[in-house]
Amino acid sequence: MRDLIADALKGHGADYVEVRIEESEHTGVAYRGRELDSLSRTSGLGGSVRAAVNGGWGFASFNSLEGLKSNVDLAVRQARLVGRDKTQLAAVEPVVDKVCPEIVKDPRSVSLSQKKRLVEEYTDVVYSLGDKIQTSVVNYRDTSSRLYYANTDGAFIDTQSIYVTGAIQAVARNNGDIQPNASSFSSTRDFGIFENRHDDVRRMAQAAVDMLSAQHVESGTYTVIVDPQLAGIFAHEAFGHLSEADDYAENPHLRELMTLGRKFGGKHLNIIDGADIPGSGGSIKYDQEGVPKTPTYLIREGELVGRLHSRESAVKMGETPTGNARAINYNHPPIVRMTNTYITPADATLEDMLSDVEDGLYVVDSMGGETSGEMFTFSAREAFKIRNGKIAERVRGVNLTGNVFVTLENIDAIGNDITWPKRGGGCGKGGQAPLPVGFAGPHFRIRNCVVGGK
Amino acid sequence: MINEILEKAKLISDEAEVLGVEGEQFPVQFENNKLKTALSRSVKGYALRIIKDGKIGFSSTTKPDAANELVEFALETAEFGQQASFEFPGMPDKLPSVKVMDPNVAAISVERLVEIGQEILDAIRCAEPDAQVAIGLGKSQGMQRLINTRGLDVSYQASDYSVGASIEIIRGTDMLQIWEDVESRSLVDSSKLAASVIEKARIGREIVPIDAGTMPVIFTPKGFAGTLALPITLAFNGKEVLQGATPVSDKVGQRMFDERLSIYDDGTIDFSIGSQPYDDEGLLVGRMPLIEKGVVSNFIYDLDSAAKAGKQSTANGKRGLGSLPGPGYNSIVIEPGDTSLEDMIKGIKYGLLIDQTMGSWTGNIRSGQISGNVHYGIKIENGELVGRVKDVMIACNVFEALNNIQTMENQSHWQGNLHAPHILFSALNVAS
Repeated sequence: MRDLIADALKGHGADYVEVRIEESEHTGVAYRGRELDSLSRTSGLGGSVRAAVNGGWGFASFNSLEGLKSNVDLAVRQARLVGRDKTQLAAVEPVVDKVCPEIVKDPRSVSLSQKKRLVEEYTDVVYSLGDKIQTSVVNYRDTSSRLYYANTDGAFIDTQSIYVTGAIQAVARNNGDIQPNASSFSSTRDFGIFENRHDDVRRMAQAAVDMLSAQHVESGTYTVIVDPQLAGIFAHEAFGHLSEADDYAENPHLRELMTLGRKFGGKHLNIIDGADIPGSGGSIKYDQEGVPKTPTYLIREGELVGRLHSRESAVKMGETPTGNARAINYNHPPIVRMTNTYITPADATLEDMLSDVEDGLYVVDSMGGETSGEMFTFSAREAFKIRNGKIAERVRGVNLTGNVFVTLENIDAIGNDITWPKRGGGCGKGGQAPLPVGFAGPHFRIRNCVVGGK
Repeated sequence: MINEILEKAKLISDEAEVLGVEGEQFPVQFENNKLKTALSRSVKGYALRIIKDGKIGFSSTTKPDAANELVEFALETAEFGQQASFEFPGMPDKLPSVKVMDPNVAAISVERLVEIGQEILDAIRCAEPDAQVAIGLGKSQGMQRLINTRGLDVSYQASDYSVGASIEIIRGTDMLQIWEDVESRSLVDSSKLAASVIEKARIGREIVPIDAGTMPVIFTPKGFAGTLALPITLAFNGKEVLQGATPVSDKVGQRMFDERLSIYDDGTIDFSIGSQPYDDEGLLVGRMPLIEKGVVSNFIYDLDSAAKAGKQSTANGKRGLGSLPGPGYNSIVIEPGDTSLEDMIKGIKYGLLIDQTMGSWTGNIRSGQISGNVHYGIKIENGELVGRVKDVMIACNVFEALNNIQTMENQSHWQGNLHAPHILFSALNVAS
């Protein structure tokens, strides 16, 4: 493969060219209600060439490796059409490496019938909760892939990977009232993440049933304590996206807004991207520009201290590449994305945080979130009222929103616990979704948080 | 290759169907006021669905020359596959007439796309020198062929053309973001795009406070597409209906919505991106009411969900290369009402016009509840658009809201595959 790519790159005539070739296989099993909905095995082969000429980028993707050279020429032609400036890429030592996953249990070693059996078992668990369960959706999917990456600086990286992911949804119903709940999982090294989830599924489905009799939260402003699962999504949505520097270099206003040293929160607030968590979706050794991923402090002691870079954004800002140029597959050029993003633990206990809240909300995990940079929003998967310092009755329909420049300042207590939930799903940006990422954090408390509800 | 796959599949199965897709896309991207990337994507792949001993097997590949592997994978999955409750269709008895291929799209050069993008960029920058502008343009054409062992052999070519512009204007810590796009199977006019973005930037320049509470709210067609459409499309999907997990599943023939509301699924509109001559299972695509005069009328089905529901497929079988077909929409057409947008706004003493929201899809959309941040919303006071609201959430139940419509605009506008008028809801909950 290395020779094939090297041959295709001869005489390319561009400032820079990189080539990706990716082979993959997927297995999927899905149940909808009591019935098997789909069972599939699919395979893929494809590649792409990205070229830079005079600061412009050209990109060509394809499914046939024949004519790799002509795709190099096409990408270079496209780049030449665009380039009117100067190509700038941060210098990095070209890496030659072979990356293999440290597999605990390989999904390829598990039979299709065994995968199907687990999907059936989780379906049964959901239905075991009685006649309030209207339906369930159980999805399982595994992918194994091999990605060859090479660039004209001399990098050649051969990466093998696996990914096991899925989601289990329970839908409870009481006449016209329909209440879903869901949990998801993912691992980059272990089929085991899909095994022994029965208790987790039972809790999730029971919560869907319980929510039927819960009140919808009144919209308004609350003191909110978020659990570690939601804390990670908060780190990702509320701040992480704003630290992606692909927009900065040529956006003077954003650059000014995000000047290093700007105070975002209290001394207790630290946000980091790049934790090396075994099995977590964002645990990558190299990004898709061949740059080693390095842990990056975004906020240290409440101050903005860093951001996430590609080679291009780094050099334009006079900073160091962080290994955050990622692509979901060969069909897309890499863009600046997060890896594993988290808030570091501080010193409060959950009891401390609860103790002086007379009327507030305790929110657990999320069904998803979205951000525009400044504003962010996400729904709580489950929520409870806090009354007189105690977690009280369940409420539902909780959707949190905020403004990053205000809300981080409003975090007045950060817990001493942290967990890395290996959830499924992933991140979407620029038409590329879902990209596996990880997120984590401790419990923390936000004052004056806007909640949309009834 | 496609015939070879079917021949091989025949040998090991009772029934088989092969889909072949081939296409090329040419997107061009401007970022931060500059031309940045020109892309080319060439896609080719096959999907095989078989029925063996009454069970379904499925595989797909983008590998060239992988017919044997494709058949082997399909056979492996058929052993554990779901019961086939339907038969593949034969050749349709009529020819479709809908137009989905515009040779002008194939003919337009990437250089011309760049020029069109540059014109939009220049126009916006001239009016809003502080704006950071991103523009995406794209053209694509593709061919799809579907054959099966019951004699079906249908194919068609389709084109797609899109132009989108988004801007960001930062003042202090305020980020004003606006986007607009047009998409069609023909070379649609994008000359109004810049003017629309500029006008929205002008109205949105000033931030105004708004009192939380219940008020009249207008959703633009874009606001409808991004906020209210998802619960509706989920609720009328036959596959969800089968599970009884949608509020309309047992309401066919009942009036649930305002009687001025009629919504159609329509695959027969020339050059709409929602149109295709045959669905992805080979059936002729038509036009069908989902809601007629407020009454729940029909749900959309593919072959599998229709058979399970004891019905006929509504020719809404849609699929990507890597997945089995499922019910999917063509164009969604909401019949217009009788009020001009101008009069609609004039009639509001204190209310809100919503064009963009964020995160509304993260709530309990199955039940119709949406709760999202108002990303671009304009306050209306005494019949005038007075400025942009901020840090505001909108929450409602879509199905209840559609039964509390005050007025609907007298014309519809395209937003992707949605053709809808502006709709004024009498009372929605706005939190701040």
